[in-house]
Amino acid sequence: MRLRSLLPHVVSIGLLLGAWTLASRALGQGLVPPPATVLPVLGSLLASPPAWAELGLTLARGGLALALALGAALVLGVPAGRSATAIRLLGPLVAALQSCPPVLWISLVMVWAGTGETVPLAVVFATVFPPLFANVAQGCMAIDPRLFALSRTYRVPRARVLARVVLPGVVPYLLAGLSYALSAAWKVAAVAEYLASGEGVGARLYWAYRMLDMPGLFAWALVLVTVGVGLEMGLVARLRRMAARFSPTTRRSA
Amino acid sequence: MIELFDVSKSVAGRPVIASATLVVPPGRCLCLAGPSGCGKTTLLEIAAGLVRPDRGRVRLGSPRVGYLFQDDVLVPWLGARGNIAYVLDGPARERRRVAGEWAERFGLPPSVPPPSMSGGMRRRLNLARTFATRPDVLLLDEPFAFLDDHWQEVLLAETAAAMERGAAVLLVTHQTRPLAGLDCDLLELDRDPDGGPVRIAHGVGGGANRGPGSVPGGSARNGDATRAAPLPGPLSGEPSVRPASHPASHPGPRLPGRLANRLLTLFCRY
Repeated sequence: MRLRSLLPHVVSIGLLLGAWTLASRALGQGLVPPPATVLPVLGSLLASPPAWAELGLTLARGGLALALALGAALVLGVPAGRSATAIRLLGPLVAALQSCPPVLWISLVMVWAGTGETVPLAVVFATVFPPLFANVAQGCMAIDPRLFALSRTYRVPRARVLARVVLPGVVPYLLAGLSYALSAAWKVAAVAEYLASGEGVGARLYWAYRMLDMPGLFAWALVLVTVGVGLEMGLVARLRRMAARFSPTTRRSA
Repeated sequence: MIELFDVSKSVAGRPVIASATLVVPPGRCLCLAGPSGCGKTTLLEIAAGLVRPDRGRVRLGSPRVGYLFQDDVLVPWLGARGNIAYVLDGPARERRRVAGEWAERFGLPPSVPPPSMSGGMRRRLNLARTFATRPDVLLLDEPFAFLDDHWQEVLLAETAAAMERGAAVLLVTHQTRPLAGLDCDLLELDRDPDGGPVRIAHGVGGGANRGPGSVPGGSARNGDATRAAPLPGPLSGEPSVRPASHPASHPGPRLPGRLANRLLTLFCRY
């Protein structure tokens, strides 16, 4: 069973290493350093505290921006979802914001706030907030309106309505939005760092590229991919399962 | 006290209630019986303040309202106890305790959520929640639906006990048979032969002044009904003393009843 669950990973890594070695043979070691060159570089990276600091910084930026977006989405999405008018009026705006590519935000924030800490934070926020907001509002809208009528009739305190009806109702939608936002936050944080920051995984990637340090570039790329896969297979998959467990079919009372 | 004065309501351009005036003094019960679609539920929703009438005034003597909805209105992710505790007042632990007692009293497992319940259990949970708040104003929409004889008796006992406590009860139903066990004024809303709006005039109020359609209370079933187990105490911790109630012998508030004895007019477009 254990072996069986490992098999896809073994196959994927094997294929990757094979294609990589072939590409290295075909294009030359200067352009595509073979795994045998890159893996020791990666090993020395993993042994050095500064590299971990860079990794931690990117994760912290992504995480912080995600947390801020999540908070803002809850604070704004719940009242918006309670009003059909608000949803109708805000729909196109949210769609427009969602279709903005991260590079647009990066250029704008760089002009407004300069390079540095603000850019990755602001860009990740701008990227993940609209879908989270839309999901929260949608989840709130999907709550049986009779539950609000009930709460009004029995004069249930607002905080209790929020804690017992609104938040549990929003959770499945929030989890679905979060599973997207989580992987997006990691990727966008790296892009923002690449273009507008001196530190973090994205910035290391940029400097490796500028110095034409191909083994370093590949090593950082491996870090980026590994963490991305880890997030996707660890957290995101778990969130999806949780969302499915909370799905409306199992929650709706007849 | 439930007072509706000259209330009218149209839904989607169709007049549902042309004019309704009714008064239910504390400790009294008014039952509206009639065919479905004649605005009974709308009237209750107006009384509960959930629907704003196009015209007219609504006054409830107390903010403590118990509303039994026609359909199940239950929080699907809360258990029976959680659903009852949701509408109670007081500190969380006390609400939980009282809710647990009510769940037990209505034969409901405390932690099972509504989607995993049978239809009858869900109905009982709605009932338990309605009475758990010890309401002064009781609005019951088709309370006998999905209940077998035993639970109908429990429902009647709870309603009688609430009236004993001074609750005003407004009840709408199309099943009038179970009402024999309850001291209430029955108002039949009939279909008009011409297909136009139906007009019903009925005096509401004191026990002595019942209309011709009312069902006299005090049958043998009252004795059975009041034998139900004592209610869990109120949240304040005040001892739950309940005298053996006998709705038939309950005099009912006469003087205010007379004064408030207004004409109820219900235009019921069918």
